[in-house]
Formats: sequence, C-alpha cells, structure tokens
Amino acid sequence: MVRNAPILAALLLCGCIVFPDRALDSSGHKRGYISEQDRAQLAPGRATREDVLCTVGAPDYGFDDGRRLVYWIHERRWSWIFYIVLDGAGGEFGVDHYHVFDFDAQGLLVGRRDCSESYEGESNRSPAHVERATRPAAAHALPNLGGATSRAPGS
Amino acid sequence: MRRPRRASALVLALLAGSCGSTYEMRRVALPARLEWLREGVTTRDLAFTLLGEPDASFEGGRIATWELEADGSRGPAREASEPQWAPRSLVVVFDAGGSAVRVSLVQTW
Repeated sequence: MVRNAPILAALLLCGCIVFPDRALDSSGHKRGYISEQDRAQLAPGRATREDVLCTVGAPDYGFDDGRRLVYWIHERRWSWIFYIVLDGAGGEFGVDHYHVFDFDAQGLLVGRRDCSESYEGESNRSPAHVERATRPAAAHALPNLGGATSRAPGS
Repeated sequence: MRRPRRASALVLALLAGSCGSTYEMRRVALPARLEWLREGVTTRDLAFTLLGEPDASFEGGRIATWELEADGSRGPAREASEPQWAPRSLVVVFDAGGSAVRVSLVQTW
C-alpha cells in the first residue's frame, strides 16, 4: 500500500473533468432567441428591415450594407478541466446558432435562415468568420465545422 | 446518513440547473431616463445630443440603434469585432424631416 502511495497521489492530483455547463453561460449573447410570435410576424415578403429591427433589436452582426442581419446565440453545452498537480487547463464544447434575415435592396425581408456550427475550445466570433458562416448555402464550405447545419425556419 | 442525501440533492440541483433555459427577446417600456423620447415629437438632433452617436445605423441613417444598460444609460463602447452585448437595444426610426416616428426598446437578455 505504501509502495503504491505515490501512484495514488499522482492519480488524485491529475485528471480531467467534463461537466454540463449550459446554465453557467453569462455571456449575454442570446439575441437569436426570437419568439415564435415574433417569427410569425416577421414573414418574408411582408416585413421590412425596420420591422425586424424594431421587433428584435439591433443585430449582433450586419453584412452586405445591412442586407444580411445576423442574431447570434452562443450556447455552451459542456466544459472540461484538465489538471496536473497545481496547474491545468480548461475548455468548452458548444454550438453557435445564427438566425439570419435577408433583405432586398428596398429593405423588404426576402428570407430567413437558421445556421449553426459546433465548436470545441473557443467559439470563433470574428465578423469575417460569421460572414462566411451565414452566407446563403455556404455552411458546408466552412472549415472545422464539425456539425454545421443550415436550414430554413420551420423546416 | 443525512449528509450524503443533502450532498446528492445538491448535486442533482446543480445538474438540473445546468441543463439551461431558453430566453426570448421582447419589447419593453422605456425607462424613466428615456421618457423624453417620444414618437412624433423627438427630433434626430435631440436624440443624438442626449444619447450620443448611435452604435449602428441603417438605410442611410433613417434607422439608428443604441446599445443601452437596463436603466437606459449608455454602457462602455464595445470593440468593433465583438458582437452586441448590452441588455437593451434601442431602435429609433426617423422620418425625412428628422422626427422620430417609431421607437422600440428590446430586452436582449
């Protein structure tokens, strides 16, 4: 037993813990949570950019001179901690959801899309990345997606 | 034997809480700090004077948005590369004469 003590101690001081972590996300990046009632009101062909902005507020990202507005939900699902004695590292797994509104040159809403991509470690929130991730039918061309999807609302 | 039960209950509660909850943006009433902001009355000049430059504008400035704290005050400016963070989003639509014709405050988290 005494001979195994260093090994036991080492096992106690080193390890990896993975735990569900959704409720601990206090980042505030939740603008993509749009109610069903609001979604129904913001119908393509009827609603305008003004209607969208007044209903769900300013977007997280705007592209193409305001013709594409993106509302983002940063959903962390799991976190992990790896520790060795008094040092360690941590990370997270989650999904970035994007609700995209597309407008024509006159500001009329012409389409809505939901895109999502899973991430490991850290979410990539750079505008350039989000621009690529929310291009129409561009989700499959993204690098390191690991589960990217793109679908029309209600499908 | 009560301590293990309490510990188990605590662990279960933490796990249940960690399952998360959804949140939906919704329009809210203007706080007292923004009572001066009225549709058909407030001008663009007054809005820009009291609120400062908007965080974003659309359609050539016809629609302006400000990111606000819950009490209606301006928070610290965000980095251009970062997404929106503020708990309130104020949207004001101006007509050609510069009067506010539509005001909306959305609670974003």
